[in-house]
Amino acid sequence: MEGNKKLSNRQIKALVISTIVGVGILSLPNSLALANGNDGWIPIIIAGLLTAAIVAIIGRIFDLYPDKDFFQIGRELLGNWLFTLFLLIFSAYLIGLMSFLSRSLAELVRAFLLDTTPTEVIIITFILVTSYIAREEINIIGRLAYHIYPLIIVATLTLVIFSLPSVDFTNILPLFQSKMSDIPKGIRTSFFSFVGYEILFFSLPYSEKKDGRIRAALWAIGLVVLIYLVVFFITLAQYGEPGLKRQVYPTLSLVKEIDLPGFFVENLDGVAMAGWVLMVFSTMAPSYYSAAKIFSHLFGAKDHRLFVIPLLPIVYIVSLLPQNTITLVETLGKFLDYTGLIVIVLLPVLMYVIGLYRLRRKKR
Amino acid sequence: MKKIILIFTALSMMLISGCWDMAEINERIFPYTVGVDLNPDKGDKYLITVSYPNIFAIGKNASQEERIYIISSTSSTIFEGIRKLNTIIPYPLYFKHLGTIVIGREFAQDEASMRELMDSANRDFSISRKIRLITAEDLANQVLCSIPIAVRQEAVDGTLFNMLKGDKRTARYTPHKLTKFLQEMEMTGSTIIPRVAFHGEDIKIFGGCVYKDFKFIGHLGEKDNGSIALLRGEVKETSVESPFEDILISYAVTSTKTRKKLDVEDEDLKIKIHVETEGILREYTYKEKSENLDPDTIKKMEEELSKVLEEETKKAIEILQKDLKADALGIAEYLQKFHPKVWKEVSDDWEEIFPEITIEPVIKVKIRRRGLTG
Amino acid sequence: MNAKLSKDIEENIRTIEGLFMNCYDIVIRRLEIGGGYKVKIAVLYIDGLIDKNHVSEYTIGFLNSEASGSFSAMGHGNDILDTISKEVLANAEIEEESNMENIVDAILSGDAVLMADKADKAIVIGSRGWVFRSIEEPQTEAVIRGPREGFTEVLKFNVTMIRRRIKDTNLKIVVKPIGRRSKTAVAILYMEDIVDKTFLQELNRRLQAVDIDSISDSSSLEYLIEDNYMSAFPQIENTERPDSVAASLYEGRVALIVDNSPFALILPATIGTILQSSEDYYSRWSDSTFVRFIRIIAVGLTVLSPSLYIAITAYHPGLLPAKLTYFLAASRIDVPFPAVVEATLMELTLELLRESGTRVAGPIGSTVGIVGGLIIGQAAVDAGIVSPLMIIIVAVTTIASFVIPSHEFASGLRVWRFILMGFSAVLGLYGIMLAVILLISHLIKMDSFGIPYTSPYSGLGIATGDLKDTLIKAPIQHLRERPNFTRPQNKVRMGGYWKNGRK
Repeated sequence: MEGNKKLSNRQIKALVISTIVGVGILSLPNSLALANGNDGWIPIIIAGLLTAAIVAIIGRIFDLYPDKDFFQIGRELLGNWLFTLFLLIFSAYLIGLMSFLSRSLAELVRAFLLDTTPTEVIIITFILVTSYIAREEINIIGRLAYHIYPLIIVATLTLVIFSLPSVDFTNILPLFQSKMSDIPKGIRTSFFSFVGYEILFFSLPYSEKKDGRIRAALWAIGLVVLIYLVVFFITLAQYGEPGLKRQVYPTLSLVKEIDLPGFFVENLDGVAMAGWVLMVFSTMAPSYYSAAKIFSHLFGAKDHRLFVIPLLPIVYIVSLLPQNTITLVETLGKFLDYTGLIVIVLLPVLMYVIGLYRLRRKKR
Repeated sequence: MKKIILIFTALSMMLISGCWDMAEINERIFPYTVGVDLNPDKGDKYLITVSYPNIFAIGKNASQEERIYIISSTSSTIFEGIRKLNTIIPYPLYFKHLGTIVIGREFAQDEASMRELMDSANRDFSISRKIRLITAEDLANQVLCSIPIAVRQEAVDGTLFNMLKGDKRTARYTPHKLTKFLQEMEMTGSTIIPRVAFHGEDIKIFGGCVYKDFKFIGHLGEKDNGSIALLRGEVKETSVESPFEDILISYAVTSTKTRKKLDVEDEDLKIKIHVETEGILREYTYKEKSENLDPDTIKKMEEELSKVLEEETKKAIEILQKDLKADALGIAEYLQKFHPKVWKEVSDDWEEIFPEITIEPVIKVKIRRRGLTG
Repeated sequence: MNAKLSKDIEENIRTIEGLFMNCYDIVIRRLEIGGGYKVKIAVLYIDGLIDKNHVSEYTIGFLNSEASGSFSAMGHGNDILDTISKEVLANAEIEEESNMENIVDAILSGDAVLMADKADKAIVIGSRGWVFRSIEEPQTEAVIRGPREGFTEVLKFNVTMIRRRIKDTNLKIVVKPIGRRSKTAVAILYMEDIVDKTFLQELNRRLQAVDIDSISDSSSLEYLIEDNYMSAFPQIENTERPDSVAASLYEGRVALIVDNSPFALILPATIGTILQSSEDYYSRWSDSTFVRFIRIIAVGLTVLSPSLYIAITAYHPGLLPAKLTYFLAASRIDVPFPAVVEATLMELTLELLRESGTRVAGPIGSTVGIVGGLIIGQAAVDAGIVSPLMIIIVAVTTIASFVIPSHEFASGLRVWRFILMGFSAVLGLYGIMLAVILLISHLIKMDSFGIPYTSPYSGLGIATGDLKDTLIKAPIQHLRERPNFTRPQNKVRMGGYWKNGRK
């Protein structure tokens, strides 16, 4: 079935967008306001540019070694031991990511939809449902992303349109008042919201049209930046800087502000939660798939399906470790920051540099 | 196949034992108004009153007469009071449809309590941010208890909420949502919410209560409230009267545009608030000779109206500035956004500087339409 | 049984009699023709399967009339057979056959077999004719405007109806027998220069792999060759309308017509095609576009309505505006059951009604449905067992399911509707989302013969041009190319048309 694993560039673009836009969209404006005040939009753009650079690097790695997949190139360039080490960190990172997603989802579902249902139930059902599609190949996951990413765009647009009557755009002023030295802090915060592009490792080599695939991925990053900017500005317009610093989930609070007289749904936060579940799912499914793929490679198995179910209890346990939403961000969040740095920044750069170096040597 | 059956059975057993959150819609209670007071009697600190509709009295098969229920309890913290109410009602309370919070006068004067209330309202997931806040003359409990005996009342949605819902009706009070309240408090330190009392046979909402730093500091009469609302650009419809050639003409405002402008003269700040109103000439006089109004007359009328408005607003500004020392006009906000450098200089001493600055209303009235007759 | 005929006609006849022992409908008509030297001829057939007049007149009649002595001069055995077939017989369709098994198959299919003494070949005469249902309007797919012909159970006529609509030599019709005992003739129809060859190969491979006693209806074949038989959703379309089949062939798809079944199979099928109906093409484009939107809404309604009702009333009344909440609560005061039980009861009742309506044929059937529904619904509300809103929801659900053109797809949705109800009963709106995720995952991962089931929404490097004919219905002037998801070889199907004065 190897031949059937082809993705179209459009699907790659969708995959990147839907994997990246997930949990971050809810709390990003808040963290940025805390770091940089009204100028929180600047770190978004900068982080976006950095991400685009790394995405381009990843793309070039696959250009240098066409017809080879991630695992083959990794082994070749980094050698068995080093690459296995990276893979172990990668899997830890992915498990951490999945646990973070499941736990965040469960906490918010509990808050908005189901008060008394035990968190364990919510987490288990979510992981189970995701495992159904994680057993498939990347082309099916690409199809899934292609179906869900319009939802993300429509949701953002709807949010903006319905919020317009109640926002005050003067709240965005004054601009450029914050200290320049705070910008790096903001960049670090927003970078976490761009996490997810590592799915490119597992999808880019299977693109059906080699040229244009990097461009598709870059378009995706651009769109994500746009979406984040829009969300930031609209929440800023609604709450102003001090308000934005207070609201931990400004996007959700914004949904609660929407007043549609005469419409048959009044409190839209239930609907928004439903849509958000889909968004988190579209981040979780590719990560689950990637984790299973890595494990299948580590154990030398042909099929990643074997590893999907065993991952379930691991993710379940890890997701229940943090005590509350605050420690969730402190511990798991920090863990993801560090491992993420290694896996999705260091690894591609390393592979690219070594790859270039080797090719140059071959030419001589 | 066997694996699937096993998983399926396990899952069904686990899930069917659940249904944790299920509660039928007719087994919940949806309050639409909550009143918070400082307990006038000895004992717990707070008195919480909750008003909710009697669903047996709604709809085609209404079987009971009484349309609204009021319940109250005392407690040491606000939301504990609500939990305590659960001992007297059959079903759990569900606050998603809460429309209004009535704040008792004494409660409003206690800064710590106000802060506590605002924090819980802000933090709670189920309380909508669109709830309106109003202050009671005396005890919120009194106001709420008198709703059922008021002559005019609405069971569904709540009397108070219905009165506060539309902001187009009058400028004699300006209802504010929770978000606005908090936002203004943070940015300028002061805001206004309507006043409510039980007058005669009706619930009356009128005028405004000025809050500064989460504390109630004073009243605004109905007219003053209207003027302030005009200056803030929140007026959608109001009427103005002015003397004109021995008669009173009446003018209805249909839309307003406000702009603030800063003039710095030497060391003194001068803020000009430009207001432009558009409206309809409502009442003139039935003239002996039927003739159409000419542009000059209109212009004169407009000038007279402007003068009246400027006087009224000046009076209101003085109350705010000198008596209450509360910046409910959003001057601080304006400076922060549009003149950040100036703001940096004055922000530390804003308390002292605010009463000293000059705030000048510049009002331009435009009569756009005059109805059907000349 | 792969034996050849022997030259001794008596032996052949004995063999056949032996095989058809205890079959009363086998007829062996003996003749002796010829002038001086009489040749023994036997015509074998199954009474009831042949057109007796035809055989009497054009076979036996002509054989008997040539009773002149010309035969004896012609030699023996196979030569005689040759003369008979070339010069004597007046039948329109004849063939030579020397394999016993094929001869038996021919007899069983309704052909008459002519054997001559001393000849080790036989002539198979095409003489099929039996009672069949006349051509009627298809009952499952009525249209307001459009042809009203429907397939019958006779393969030949069905194929003819297609032939009449495609007068192109590129229309290939390949007939294969499927089923060991039933040897049902299955015709594979496709347009040679449009269809994707790899697809055809795959289809042939699957058909080859079928090893079963019998195929009673095209549905048996359908379930044997489709990709995911476990799924509740059909991956192969079926239709009673020849015009649908012809249109699909033009799009590069393949049709299978199964003998004894008036339902032709069209593959591949995707959600896009399943939600189309031939009526879309016979109405004006604005009408069809509107109807297509309604269909999509109907799909949503039929799957989601009861679960949303359960979730909103039992778990999240906060979603509704205050007024609606109070009225809903007021209307549910006397209802003794929780919303879950109410919904399940009503849905089950409705399914019972529907099923009973189908079982009881004719006018009684439809009356049962309507009357039953009305009476039971009204009575339930009056008794206070069920809230009026529930009745409305159940009615909407059912009506929406009838909007969907494909009955099987609607049935698939029905299964999922109950799954969603189960999930929403336990976990409210979150449960619904989980079930929706499952449903989407399921639909997405299905392929129909290598083509994604969710085409043309799957973005497989395929231009959104396909949406012009699925999401909306563009006017025919805009549908110049064939849809892409079937990977047709030949893209253009329309060149020009009159354009307000210019071409």
